[in-house]
Amino acid sequence: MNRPGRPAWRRAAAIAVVAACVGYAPIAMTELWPYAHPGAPALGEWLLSHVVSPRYVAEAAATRIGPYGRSLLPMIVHSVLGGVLMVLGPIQLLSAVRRRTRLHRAMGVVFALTVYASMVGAALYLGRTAPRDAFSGPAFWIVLATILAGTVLSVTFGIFAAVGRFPDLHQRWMLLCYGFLMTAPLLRIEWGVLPWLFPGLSMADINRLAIMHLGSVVAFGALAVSRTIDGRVTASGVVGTWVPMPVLAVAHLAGGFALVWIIRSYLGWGADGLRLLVAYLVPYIATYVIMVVAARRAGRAGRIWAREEWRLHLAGLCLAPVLSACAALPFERYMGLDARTALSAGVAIGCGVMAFAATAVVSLRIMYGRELTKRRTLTARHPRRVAAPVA
Amino acid sequence: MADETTTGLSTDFGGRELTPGVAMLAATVAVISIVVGALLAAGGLTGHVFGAWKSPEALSSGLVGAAMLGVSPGLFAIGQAHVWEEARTLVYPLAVVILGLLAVSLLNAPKLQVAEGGGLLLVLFSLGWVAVLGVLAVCAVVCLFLQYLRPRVPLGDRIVPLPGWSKPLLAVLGSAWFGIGSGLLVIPQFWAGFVPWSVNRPDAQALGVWALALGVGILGALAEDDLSRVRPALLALPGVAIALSIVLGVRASEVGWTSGPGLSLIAMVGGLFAAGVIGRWYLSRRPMPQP
Repeated sequence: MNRPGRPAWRRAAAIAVVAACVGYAPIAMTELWPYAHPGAPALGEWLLSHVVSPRYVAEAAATRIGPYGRSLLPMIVHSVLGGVLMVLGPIQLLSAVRRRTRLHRAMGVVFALTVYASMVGAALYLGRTAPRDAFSGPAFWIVLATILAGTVLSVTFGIFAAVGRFPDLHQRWMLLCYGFLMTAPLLRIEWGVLPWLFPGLSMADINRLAIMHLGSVVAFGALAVSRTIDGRVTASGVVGTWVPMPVLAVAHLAGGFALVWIIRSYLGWGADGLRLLVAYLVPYIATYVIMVVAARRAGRAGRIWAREEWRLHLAGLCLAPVLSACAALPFERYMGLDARTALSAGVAIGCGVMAFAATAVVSLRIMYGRELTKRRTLTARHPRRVAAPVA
Repeated sequence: MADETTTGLSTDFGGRELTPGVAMLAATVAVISIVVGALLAAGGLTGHVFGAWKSPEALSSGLVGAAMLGVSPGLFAIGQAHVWEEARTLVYPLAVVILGLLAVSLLNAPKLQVAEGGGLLLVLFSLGWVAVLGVLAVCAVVCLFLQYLRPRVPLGDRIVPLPGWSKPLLAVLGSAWFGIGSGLLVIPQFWAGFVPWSVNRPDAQALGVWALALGVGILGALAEDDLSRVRPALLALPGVAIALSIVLGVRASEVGWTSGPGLSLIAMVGGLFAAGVIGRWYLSRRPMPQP
């Protein structure tokens, strides 16, 4: 894994993320205290009530007493361990960058076990909470369940990659895993910031806006860090492209149709629909533009591997609206959701799921390239002739 | 990087070079098997029916999951093979499982969770199950086709032949698994009576696919008659046996152990374990060929 670049903005971004993680840790750890002991201090609630208003926080907290009360211990485990992960993540990233291998491996075991334990708490909460009782509704329940699956799978694949001696894949999966964990502090930030853009909305409404782009933002963040760290011009055995222009064109076409359908649906749902659409489209378009520009720049600079990775993720981003539209169908049919909620749930998970899929394809690409190189080397080193049998 | 421990040989003994596609297919299936197998096995161990279709009991899906988990180490070992002949005794069963489970899922489509309705998680799992199997099936066919396009150097003499005393036993073991597997797959309504717990049609056929694959693997190893060429299979057999034993042990109350099928099951699972362990021990005692 290459060292991160030296530009000042990268250093500033890294410091900001580490500060956000470490700053969020005590907020996460104390978040459930008031539900265990009414009146107990909760740093997050205190901050939010001062940034927005006490009523904004109280309204939301009142709806949580029932669902959290049924799963208090799992939620406490989940939130406390989540806070621990906010500290462990930067330790892992910095120890990897500074090549402190033994520390990285030792803390890596702690990190993985903490992720699994924290996600068990989350799974118990989701299992005991009906989707309609989740904060801001069933769409958020679906988003949480998807983030849970994504987190568990990405940390598992990160472990596989480490055991299989694929440090580049290990880095990508663990960054994606941490990205999914970062949805927690990011959501709290949005709870505090979005009311300034959309005054008068309740925290539940703000939450519904935030989930429209939460997955895409964190997944893109993980990808951006991966690309920053990986400075290779080419990857071993990677020749040609798995995303030739016809494939990319089809992805654009399919995604375009799905996006038009999504836009028309939301525009038919009044001001609320328009807000949700803006919350989805603005980050989506920004991510799309960045990916296209990055892929082109990499291509022009002859950085073949970078171009390939950007294109794979670009294809995934284009197909995200297709997945969103398709996912709305089972949500509507098997969960009994109305069309609007089902589509919002599909939209909320689309980008994150496709980013996961794109990372999987990137992994296959790298693994295949390495396998190809290995077999060519094997053939060159071991000329083919028949061996004498053992006496 | 290549080294002599990759195949254990400093010269090869003929055959076709293993393609990267087959190695990748095995590794990919191994990863998927660990994740999905763990889910199915956990459901089976805890008594919760978790699978692509509805089942009367959790044991069948748990055993399918256990088999997926148990075979994974062998699948990873395929990547260390140099030639196709060192991998085919496990790749053929792999193809049987992928294509067989896909066929069973499609033939029993009305019984899938997505068709019968149920919890969202199970519905999405059944959709993903069919989709992933479909993609893997296409990949398996393409990979095998491309593998057979590789030029073949005539095989040399066997390096570590099977001991003579083991061949009749392997023939019986392989035939038993192959036979019960074929029966469950083709005539599930009759042969399900020989399964010592309750199964429905898709359960019987899925178990039949796995039994058939085990039979193909064991009989294939018998035909190969060279322990140095069946290393991945020697790793998979005890893995599958141990995983099956754990699930059967935890859910022992659901199995009719004292019936004829129950006793046969014990012998067949025990045979898998013995074949793998004895084979690996025997292989470790034989010297490797010199150039």
